[in-house]
Amino acid sequence: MASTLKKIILKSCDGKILEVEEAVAVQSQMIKNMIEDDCANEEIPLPDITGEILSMIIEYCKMHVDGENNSNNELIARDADFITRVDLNTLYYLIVAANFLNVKSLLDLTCQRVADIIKGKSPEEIRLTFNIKNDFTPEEEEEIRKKNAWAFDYKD
Amino acid sequence: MAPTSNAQWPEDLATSILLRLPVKSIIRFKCVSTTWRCFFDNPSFVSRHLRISKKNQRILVGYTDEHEHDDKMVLRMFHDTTLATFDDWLPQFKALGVGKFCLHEGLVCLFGWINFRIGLWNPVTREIRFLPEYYTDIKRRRYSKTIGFGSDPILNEYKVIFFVENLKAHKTLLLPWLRCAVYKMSTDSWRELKREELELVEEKMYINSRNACVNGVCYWVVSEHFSYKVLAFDIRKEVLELIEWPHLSYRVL
Repeated sequence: MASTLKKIILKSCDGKILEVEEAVAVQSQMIKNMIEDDCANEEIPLPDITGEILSMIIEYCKMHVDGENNSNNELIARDADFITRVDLNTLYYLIVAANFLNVKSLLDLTCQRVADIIKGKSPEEIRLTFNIKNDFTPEEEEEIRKKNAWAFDYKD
Repeated sequence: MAPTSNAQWPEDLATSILLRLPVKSIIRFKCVSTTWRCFFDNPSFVSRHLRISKKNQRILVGYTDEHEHDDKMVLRMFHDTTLATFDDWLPQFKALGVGKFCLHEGLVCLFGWINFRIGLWNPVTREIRFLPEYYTDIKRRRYSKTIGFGSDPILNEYKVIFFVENLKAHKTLLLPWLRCAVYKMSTDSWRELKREELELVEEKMYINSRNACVNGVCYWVVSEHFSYKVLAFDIRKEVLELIEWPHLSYRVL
């Protein structure tokens, strides 16, 4: 009989406790390091990550552990299915959390998703989305637009 | 995102996102704010973006027109566009007539046979820089002009090598049969190689226009009748070297 699977206990900033199999938890390089340093025997507090975001990250890590034997294309399809359900606001929290927990593949996936969402936007939409003040004079802005007119012809 | 005064996104994370944008979006987003423009113009951002986008390969097809004896090329820059001739991408060059070109790291070095100017063109951003004229007496047909283009990966310095061969050298004793000048992008200036630096290239060796730059060294095939050698130019040291052709049982060229 295999010994019972070791569980890692994670605590979100809003007090949610999640028990995660070690194989899933080590998808996070940060937790993996803690286990190797023997610091993961008690619950691990995650001060900046809410229970909702933490559940999503665990779902993602579990998907990758379970899908280890799947083909690359299958994993890409699952990643796409996972990420397209997430809105821009949630993506922000996912990125910050994936960065803190050091889950490289999730960080790549989320950053690429934000880039894909914003790449077809106009400069005005970008300013609105990220709350950026336009500090160009109208003449300066016109000059950039004129010089690069081809980049403003976008349907992609 | 980070390059804003209202820094909500941690800067390293914002950078990871912006690095994944296509060039077309980056150019459009230069007018979001002055901070964004500075951010996108930063050389470190540009070289990191190049490293990432190298994974997205573009298609480029070169062919030689039997009647015009000139290399032509067609290309497709974005996934949403069809194959286009580069005259359409670069209207200025229609008037120049591109005779020769070489490619390195997504940049194209072009040589126009109508006005004999050399240009460095970035087809993705559509920017072109014309090099200052160096040899001004080369418009006659008896001169064979060859260019090479590459970079030194350590200093990140780009250089253009320009050979001018006089195929009928015995008629003009004033000029050497081979001249060569090196253009340095960072200083926007030329340096001519001295006669002794060119001595190793034997007279009447024809420098083939096709070249490649690998790890900071440019290579050309040089030929005399049916004997071949490889001419190598170390971009950092600016030194030429001749490499013997391997002994093969069949003809390569």
